[in-house]
Amino acid sequence: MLLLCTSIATCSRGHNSNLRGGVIEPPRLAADFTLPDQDGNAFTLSSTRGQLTLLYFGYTSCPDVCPMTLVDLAAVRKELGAAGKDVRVVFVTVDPERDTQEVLKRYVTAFDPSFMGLRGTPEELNNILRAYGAKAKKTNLPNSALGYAMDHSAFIYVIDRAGYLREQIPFGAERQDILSDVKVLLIEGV
Amino acid sequence: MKSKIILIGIACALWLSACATGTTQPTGASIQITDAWTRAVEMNTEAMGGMNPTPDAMSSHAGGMGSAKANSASYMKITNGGAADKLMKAESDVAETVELHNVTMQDGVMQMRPVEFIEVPANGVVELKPGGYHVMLLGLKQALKAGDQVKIKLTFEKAGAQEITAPVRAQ
Repeated sequence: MLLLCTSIATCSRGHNSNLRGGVIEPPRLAADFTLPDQDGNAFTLSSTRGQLTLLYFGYTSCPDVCPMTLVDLAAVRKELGAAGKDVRVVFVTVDPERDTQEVLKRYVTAFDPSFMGLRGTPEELNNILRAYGAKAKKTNLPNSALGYAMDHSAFIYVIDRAGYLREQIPFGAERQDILSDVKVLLIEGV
Repeated sequence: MKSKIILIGIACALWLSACATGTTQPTGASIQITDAWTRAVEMNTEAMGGMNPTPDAMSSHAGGMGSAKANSASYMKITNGGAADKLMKAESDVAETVELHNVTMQDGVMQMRPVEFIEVPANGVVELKPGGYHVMLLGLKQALKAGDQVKIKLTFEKAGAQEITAPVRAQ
């Protein structure tokens, strides 16, 4: 029965030719997880059902790829006006060693006060990364004051209002294209 | 009247020869920096608990534990009217450390690495831009708000040092 429901939902949400990002076909339920947020409260991904979720893995010492993405997502929410409240941005740090709860809070809320900043143990993080096919690797930089860099996947994972992973938008996508896809998926509803 | 024309003629000749010299014998002036800007970084003071440069945070510079500091980056277009050169160093008072970095993408994975220098091709242009080369500002001493002016001293191997201003933009 569950399988049938899932496949019906998949069919009805499959193939929306209006999407511009890296579309995932067929859509699959986004892997759920619970991690502490920037205020220390447990945040469960599936609790955002009904909202459109934009999930990103990054770290606060990231030079420009992470901040640029977050600037774009903040702008997308703003441009949506009142509908922006239905878009949830979730930033998961791949550098829990340096990105403490306080650092995360300062970082994500500077872009948009509604942004979530999550931090898990290395083991929790690895499980989540694997579920999304994302990668993160520590690389020591002996010649840099940074000490080390985190090489990481730079995709925006788009989870629709029914909890299906619909898109994996690569870094460098135009803000207008992200906005367009978000609008398309918001209209689809739950 | 006649002498005036002669004077103008001499001035023109001098100006032309100065130009010719400029193109054949590159000097420090052959490097031009345009479109410089710095990424805005707000510092939410309410949530700045981990921001203060405590001894613990300082230790992260040695590659050890410690919470992350606020960083930013500056970008610009470097136009070289002379022989091949290299950007060797960047310095600024707004950050504890300033480094030259490059970002590359491999199969969707972002990698940031420090570089020893950034090559500026002869009679060419190198662009420092998001997702590529940048001047990395590590450990900001202050918030960088749109409109702020960030002074950066750039040192080129041949052209020498040059001070530029990279205004802060919110993007």
